[in-house]
Amino acid sequence: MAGPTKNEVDIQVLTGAGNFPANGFQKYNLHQSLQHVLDETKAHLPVQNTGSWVVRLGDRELTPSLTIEQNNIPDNSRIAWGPVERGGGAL
Amino acid sequence: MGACRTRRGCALRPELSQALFEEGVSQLLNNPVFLVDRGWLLLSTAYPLLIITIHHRTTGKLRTFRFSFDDWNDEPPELDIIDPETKQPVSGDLWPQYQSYWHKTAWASSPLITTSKAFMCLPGIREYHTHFSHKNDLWEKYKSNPDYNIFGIVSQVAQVFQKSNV
Repeated sequence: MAGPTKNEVDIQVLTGAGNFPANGFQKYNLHQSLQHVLDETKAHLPVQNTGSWVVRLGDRELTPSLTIEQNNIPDNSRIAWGPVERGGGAL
Repeated sequence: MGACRTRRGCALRPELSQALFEEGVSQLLNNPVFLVDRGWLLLSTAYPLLIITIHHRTTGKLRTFRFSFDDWNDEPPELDIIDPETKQPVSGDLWPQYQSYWHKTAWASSPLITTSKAFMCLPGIREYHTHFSHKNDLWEKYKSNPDYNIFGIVSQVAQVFQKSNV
Protein backbone atom coordinates (compact mmCIF):
# COMPACT_ATOMS: atom_id res chain seq x y z
CA MET A 1 0.00 0.00 0.00
CA ALA A 2 1.45 3.33 -1.00
CA GLY A 3 2.00 5.82 1.81
CA PRO A 4 2.70 9.54 1.57
CA THR A 5 5.90 10.44 -0.21
CA LYS A 6 8.44 12.70 1.43
CA ASN A 7 7.38 15.53 -0.86
CA GLU A 8 3.82 15.57 0.44
CA VAL A 9 2.24 16.96 3.55
CA ASP A 10 -1.31 16.67 4.86
CA ILE A 11 -2.97 20.00 5.66
CA GLN A 12 -6.42 21.08 6.81
CA VAL A 13 -7.44 24.74 6.62
CA LEU A 14 -9.75 26.00 9.39
CA THR A 15 -12.00 29.04 8.84
CA GLY A 16 -15.10 30.57 10.31
CA ALA A 17 -17.08 29.28 7.35
CA GLY A 18 -15.97 25.69 7.84
CA ASN A 19 -12.86 23.68 7.16
CA PHE A 20 -11.19 22.36 4.03
CA PRO A 21 -11.31 19.50 3.73
CA ALA A 22 -14.32 19.15 6.00
CA ASN A 23 -12.76 16.15 7.67
CA GLY A 24 -9.23 14.91 7.72
CA PHE A 25 -6.49 16.37 5.59
CA GLN A 26 -5.69 17.21 1.98
CA LYS A 27 -2.37 16.22 0.48
CA TYR A 28 -0.13 18.94 -0.97
CA ASN A 29 3.29 18.95 -2.51
CA LEU A 30 5.88 20.72 -0.38
CA HIS A 31 6.86 22.87 -3.32
CA GLN A 32 3.38 24.28 -3.89
CA SER A 33 2.75 27.77 -2.63
CA LEU A 34 0.63 28.24 0.45
CA GLN A 35 -1.49 30.54 -1.71
CA HIS A 36 -2.47 27.49 -3.75
CA VAL A 37 -3.78 25.85 -0.58
CA LEU A 38 -5.75 28.98 0.29
CA ASP A 39 -7.11 29.32 -3.24
CA GLU A 40 -8.35 25.76 -3.12
CA THR A 41 -9.94 26.43 0.26
CA LYS A 42 -11.62 29.54 -1.12
CA ALA A 43 -13.06 27.49 -3.97
CA HIS A 44 -14.69 25.07 -1.53
CA LEU A 45 -15.94 27.32 1.27
CA PRO A 46 -18.21 30.40 1.33
CA VAL A 47 -15.48 32.73 2.53
CA GLN A 48 -15.47 36.41 1.61
CA ASN A 49 -13.07 39.37 1.86
CA THR A 50 -10.11 37.05 2.19
CA GLY A 51 -7.65 39.52 0.68
CA SER A 52 -6.72 40.91 4.07
CA TRP A 53 -6.92 37.65 6.03
CA VAL A 54 -4.02 36.17 7.89
CA VAL A 55 -3.09 32.48 8.02
CA ARG A 56 -1.48 30.99 11.11
CA LEU A 57 -0.01 27.73 12.27
CA GLY A 58 -0.47 27.97 16.01
CA ASP A 59 0.44 31.59 16.55
CA ARG A 60 3.05 31.68 13.81
CA GLU A 61 1.95 33.81 10.92
CA LEU A 62 2.56 32.17 7.56
CA THR A 63 3.37 33.76 4.20
CA PRO A 64 1.03 32.74 1.38
CA SER A 65 3.48 33.64 -1.36
CA LEU A 66 6.04 31.15 -0.03
CA THR A 67 5.88 27.42 -0.54
CA ILE A 68 4.64 24.99 2.05
CA GLU A 69 8.24 23.94 2.64
CA GLN A 70 9.46 27.51 3.00
CA ASN A 71 6.66 28.12 5.50
CA ASN A 72 7.97 25.12 7.45
CA ILE A 73 4.54 23.52 7.64
CA PRO A 74 4.89 19.99 9.02
CA ASP A 75 2.83 16.98 8.03
CA ASN A 76 -0.67 16.72 9.55
CA SER A 77 -0.99 20.46 10.14
CA ARG A 78 -4.13 22.42 10.79
CA ILE A 79 -3.77 26.05 9.80
CA ALA A 80 -6.24 28.78 10.73
CA TRP A 81 -7.22 31.41 8.18
CA GLY A 82 -9.31 34.42 9.14
CA PRO A 83 -9.67 38.16 9.47
CA VAL A 84 -6.80 40.16 10.86
CA GLU A 85 -7.40 42.42 13.81
CA ARG A 86 -7.71 46.08 12.94
CA GLY A 87 -5.75 48.62 14.87
CA GLY A 88 -7.57 49.92 17.88
CA GLY A 89 -6.62 51.99 20.81
CA ALA A 90 -7.99 55.01 22.55
CA LEU A 91 -6.08 58.20 21.93
CA MET B 1 -44.93 48.70 19.33
CA GLY B 2 -41.51 47.97 20.84
CA ALA B 3 -39.49 50.47 22.80
CA CYS B 4 -36.64 52.33 21.14
CA ARG B 5 -33.63 51.28 23.14
CA THR B 6 -30.46 51.98 21.16
CA ARG B 7 -28.44 55.14 20.90
CA ARG B 8 -29.58 55.62 17.33
CA GLY B 9 -33.21 54.75 17.68
CA CYS B 10 -35.35 51.64 17.61
CA ALA B 11 -33.62 48.33 18.24
CA LEU B 12 -34.06 45.23 16.15
CA ARG B 13 -36.91 43.11 17.40
CA PRO B 14 -35.42 40.90 20.12
CA GLU B 15 -36.40 37.71 18.31
CA LEU B 16 -34.61 38.87 15.18
CA SER B 17 -31.55 39.83 17.19
CA GLN B 18 -31.60 36.41 18.83
CA ALA B 19 -31.94 34.66 15.48
CA LEU B 20 -28.93 36.54 14.09
CA PHE B 21 -26.99 35.70 17.25
CA GLU B 22 -27.80 32.02 17.05
CA GLU B 23 -26.92 31.89 13.36
CA GLY B 24 -23.54 33.47 14.11
CA VAL B 25 -22.83 31.30 17.13
CA SER B 26 -23.62 28.19 15.10
CA GLN B 27 -20.43 28.81 13.13
CA LEU B 28 -18.55 28.20 16.37
CA LEU B 29 -20.68 25.34 17.63
CA ASN B 30 -20.43 23.51 14.34
CA ASN B 31 -16.65 23.64 14.20
CA PRO B 32 -15.15 21.85 17.23
CA VAL B 33 -11.90 21.23 15.32
CA PHE B 34 -11.40 24.97 15.03
CA LEU B 35 -12.23 25.54 18.71
CA VAL B 36 -9.69 22.96 19.85
CA ASP B 37 -6.99 24.23 17.51
CA ARG B 38 -7.45 27.80 18.69
CA GLY B 39 -7.75 26.92 22.39
CA TRP B 40 -11.30 28.25 22.73
CA LEU B 41 -13.79 26.77 25.19
CA LEU B 42 -17.40 27.87 24.88
CA LEU B 43 -18.95 28.22 28.35
CA SER B 44 -22.28 29.72 27.31
CA THR B 45 -24.03 30.47 24.05
CA ALA B 46 -27.41 31.45 25.50
CA TYR B 47 -28.59 34.68 23.91
CA PRO B 48 -27.48 37.38 24.42
CA LEU B 49 -24.28 36.15 26.06
CA LEU B 50 -21.37 34.39 24.44
CA ILE B 51 -18.93 33.36 27.16
CA ILE B 52 -15.69 31.87 25.96
CA THR B 53 -12.46 30.94 27.71
CA ILE B 54 -9.31 31.30 25.64
CA HIS B 55 -5.97 29.63 26.30
CA HIS B 56 -2.99 31.94 25.93
CA ARG B 57 -0.46 29.88 24.00
CA THR B 58 2.68 31.57 25.30
CA THR B 59 1.93 31.83 29.00
CA GLY B 60 -0.61 29.04 29.37
CA LYS B 61 -2.96 31.40 31.19
CA LEU B 62 -6.70 31.44 30.66
CA ARG B 63 -9.02 34.37 30.39
CA THR B 64 -12.80 34.24 30.09
CA PHE B 65 -14.42 36.74 27.77
CA ARG B 66 -18.09 37.64 28.04
CA PHE B 67 -19.56 39.16 24.90
CA SER B 68 -23.01 40.71 25.37
CA PHE B 69 -24.86 40.64 22.08
CA ASP B 70 -28.02 42.40 23.13
CA ASP B 71 -29.36 44.36 20.15
CA TRP B 72 -27.11 42.42 17.76
CA ASN B 73 -26.42 43.47 15.10
CA ASP B 74 -27.76 46.98 15.45
CA GLU B 75 -25.07 47.28 18.10
CA PRO B 76 -21.71 45.55 18.40
CA PRO B 77 -21.12 43.40 21.49
CA GLU B 78 -20.05 44.75 24.84
CA LEU B 79 -16.99 42.93 26.21
CA ASP B 80 -15.96 42.05 29.75
CA ILE B 81 -13.35 39.72 31.16
CA ILE B 82 -14.95 37.69 33.92
CA ASP B 83 -14.24 35.04 36.51
CA PRO B 84 -15.64 31.87 34.91
CA GLU B 85 -17.07 30.61 38.21
CA THR B 86 -18.60 33.74 39.72
CA LYS B 87 -19.31 35.38 36.34
CA GLN B 88 -18.21 38.66 37.90
CA PRO B 89 -15.81 41.01 36.08
CA VAL B 90 -12.20 40.49 37.09
CA SER B 91 -10.06 43.36 38.34
CA GLY B 92 -8.25 45.43 35.78
CA ASP B 93 -4.94 43.93 36.87
CA LEU B 94 -5.99 40.66 35.28
CA TRP B 95 -6.68 42.28 31.94
CA PRO B 96 -4.04 41.66 29.28
CA GLN B 97 -1.84 44.43 27.98
CA TYR B 98 -0.86 44.92 24.35
CA GLN B 99 -0.31 48.24 22.65
CA SER B 100 -3.36 50.41 23.27
CA TYR B 101 -6.01 47.74 22.78
CA TRP B 102 -6.63 46.94 26.44
CA HIS B 103 -7.42 49.46 29.15
CA LYS B 104 -7.45 48.07 32.64
CA THR B 105 -9.05 51.14 34.18
CA ALA B 106 -11.91 53.37 33.23
CA TRP B 107 -11.03 56.19 30.89
CA ALA B 108 -10.99 59.46 32.78
CA SER B 109 -9.01 61.82 30.62
CA SER B 110 -12.05 63.73 29.45
CA PRO B 111 -15.49 64.30 30.89
CA LEU B 112 -16.85 63.63 27.40
CA ILE B 113 -15.70 60.01 27.45
CA THR B 114 -18.31 57.71 28.87
CA THR B 115 -16.31 54.49 29.24
CA SER B 116 -16.58 53.79 32.96
CA LYS B 117 -14.89 50.41 33.30
CA ALA B 118 -11.96 48.38 32.02
CA PHE B 119 -12.43 47.98 28.30
CA MET B 120 -11.00 46.80 25.01
CA CYS B 121 -10.52 49.34 22.26
CA LEU B 122 -11.06 47.48 18.99
CA PRO B 123 -13.49 48.09 16.15
CA GLY B 124 -16.38 45.69 16.57
CA ILE B 125 -16.45 46.11 20.34
CA ARG B 126 -19.13 48.40 21.74
CA GLU B 127 -16.77 50.23 24.06
CA TYR B 128 -14.67 51.26 21.07
CA HIS B 129 -17.59 52.73 19.17
CA THR B 130 -18.97 54.56 22.21
CA HIS B 131 -15.57 56.02 23.07
CA PHE B 132 -15.30 59.73 22.38
CA SER B 133 -12.09 59.25 20.39
CA HIS B 134 -13.90 57.03 17.92
CA LYS B 135 -17.29 58.68 17.78
CA ASN B 136 -16.97 59.10 14.02
CA ASP B 137 -15.92 55.51 13.39
CA LEU B 138 -19.45 54.20 13.39
CA TRP B 139 -20.42 50.56 13.78
CA GLU B 140 -22.60 51.08 10.72
CA LYS B 141 -19.40 51.02 8.63
CA TYR B 142 -18.55 47.54 9.87
CA LYS B 143 -21.74 45.64 10.54
CA SER B 144 -22.19 44.29 7.00
CA ASN B 145 -18.55 43.25 6.67
CA PRO B 146 -18.21 39.48 7.19
CA ASP B 147 -14.99 40.12 9.12
CA TYR B 148 -17.26 41.63 11.78
CA ASN B 149 -19.72 38.81 12.17
CA ILE B 150 -19.67 37.02 15.53
CA PHE B 151 -16.90 34.66 14.46
CA GLY B 152 -14.82 37.50 13.05
CA ILE B 153 -15.12 39.68 16.13
CA VAL B 154 -14.22 36.86 18.51
CA SER B 155 -11.29 35.88 16.26
CA GLN B 156 -9.91 39.41 16.32
CA VAL B 157 -10.22 39.67 20.10
CA ALA B 158 -8.51 36.29 20.45
CA GLN B 159 -5.65 37.32 18.18
CA VAL B 160 -4.99 40.48 20.17
CA PHE B 161 -5.18 38.42 23.36
CA GLN B 162 -2.58 36.00 22.01
CA LYS B 163 -0.24 38.91 21.32
CA SER B 164 -0.68 40.29 24.84
CA ASN B 165 1.53 39.84 27.87
CA VAL B 166 -1.16 38.32 30.06
